[in-house]
Amino acid sequence: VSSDVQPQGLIFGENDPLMRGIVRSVLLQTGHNVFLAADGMEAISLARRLQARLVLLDIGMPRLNGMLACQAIRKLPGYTDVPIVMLTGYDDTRMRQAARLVGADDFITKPFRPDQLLARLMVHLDTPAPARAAALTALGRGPECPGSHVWNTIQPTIAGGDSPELLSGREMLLVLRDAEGHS
Amino acid sequence: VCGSLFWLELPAECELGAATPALRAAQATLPAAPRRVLLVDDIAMNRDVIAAFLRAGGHSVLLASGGAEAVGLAAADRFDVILMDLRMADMDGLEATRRIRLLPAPHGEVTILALTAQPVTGRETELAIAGLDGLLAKPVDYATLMRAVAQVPLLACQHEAPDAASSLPLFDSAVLDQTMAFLSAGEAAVNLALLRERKQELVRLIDAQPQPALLAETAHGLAAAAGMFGFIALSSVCRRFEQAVAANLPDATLLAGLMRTETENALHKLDQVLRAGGIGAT
Repeated sequence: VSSDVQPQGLIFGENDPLMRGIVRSVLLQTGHNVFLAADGMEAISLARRLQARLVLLDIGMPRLNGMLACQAIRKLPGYTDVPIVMLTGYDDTRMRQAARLVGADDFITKPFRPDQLLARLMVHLDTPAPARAAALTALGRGPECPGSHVWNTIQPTIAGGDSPELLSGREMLLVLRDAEGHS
Repeated sequence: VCGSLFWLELPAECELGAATPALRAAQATLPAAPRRVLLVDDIAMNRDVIAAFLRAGGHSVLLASGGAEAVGLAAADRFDVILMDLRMADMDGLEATRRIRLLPAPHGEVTILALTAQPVTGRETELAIAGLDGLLAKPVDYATLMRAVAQVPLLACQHEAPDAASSLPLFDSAVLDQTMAFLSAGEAAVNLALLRERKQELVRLIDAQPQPALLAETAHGLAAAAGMFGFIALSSVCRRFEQAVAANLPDATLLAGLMRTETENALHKLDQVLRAGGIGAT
């Protein structure tokens, strides 16, 4: 594959086929190609081979979890400013903080409303980085729906513009131990 | 550097976000809405002074004299912010913060600011990973304390606790419709059949009484999928079970029973939906 004609699109890493199918349908509504990965390794491999416009990652995936995949993808050439969104059933505060530390831009919990997921992703895709945080805030959480919330808790990464400090190996072990404790 | 304030992060969604320093300053001069504060310090004099400041600023204050007491209060009650001394005799502030972060939502999501007289340069990541949101240097002056507390999101911004699952609807057809709008008829049939299998698998698994961690993993997946298709009560009880197992809470067994009942109810309802909609031949 020649490096100057890299295909573009969205990368989505998720090991649950049920969620993968639903989210794929939502992602196709953005008008972009969708590239699916079944675990973190596949997501990184896809990111190496194409210049994605956005990366959406589940956290609890086999082989390599979404946190580590996020950290690795963020360091790839061409991925400094690509929005990386975590889409996960883990909704505790430490997971959100860890997501920010590995360089994620947004954190959305499952279950979510597909229309709200689409709206948030469109903001990430269409709004220039400096205005993104304000646009996401304006979007808010949308209408309440019991058991179906879309969360957004890590705006400062986008707002501040400074790249988050990446975890050291030892710190990542702590995060991972935590993630295992939750699965 | 007495009274200096820096933020590690503010992990709540209703924060100032993109606010400019000028806007922040302007907002800081406005009288803040009263916050509910839990103040944790093992030295009585520190508690008295800071509590007096907070009350003078119109905030309500509850006091804890140690880390373990703070965890207990945070589990039983809700606060806008916890001001946490780091160095304490019984359980230090970092350990108390870690334990509070393991509490089920919304208790584990409270904003926690450290109060410390020691320099923390170089330890920022460690403090953030423990779950601290920010830091106040002691001794703290009135204006700095008021600014910090005023920036804390109000409880109203946080989501409600998923209390008794029975108070949630078994099924919300509007949620199902939302998701269905994004699926073709074929995809819908496949997905609902998959969901049906997942539910049956969960019932079988509960009956087999596996390790709680294994059951929690299955519940984790179903919480998301069931919620997407409108099975609100099932999604909620799966999430509560998962959180109970993660935090090693004794009510996990009780929740497993509740989860089985809700799964049976949801299966029954799903079959009605399938019959009524003529979707999927199962």
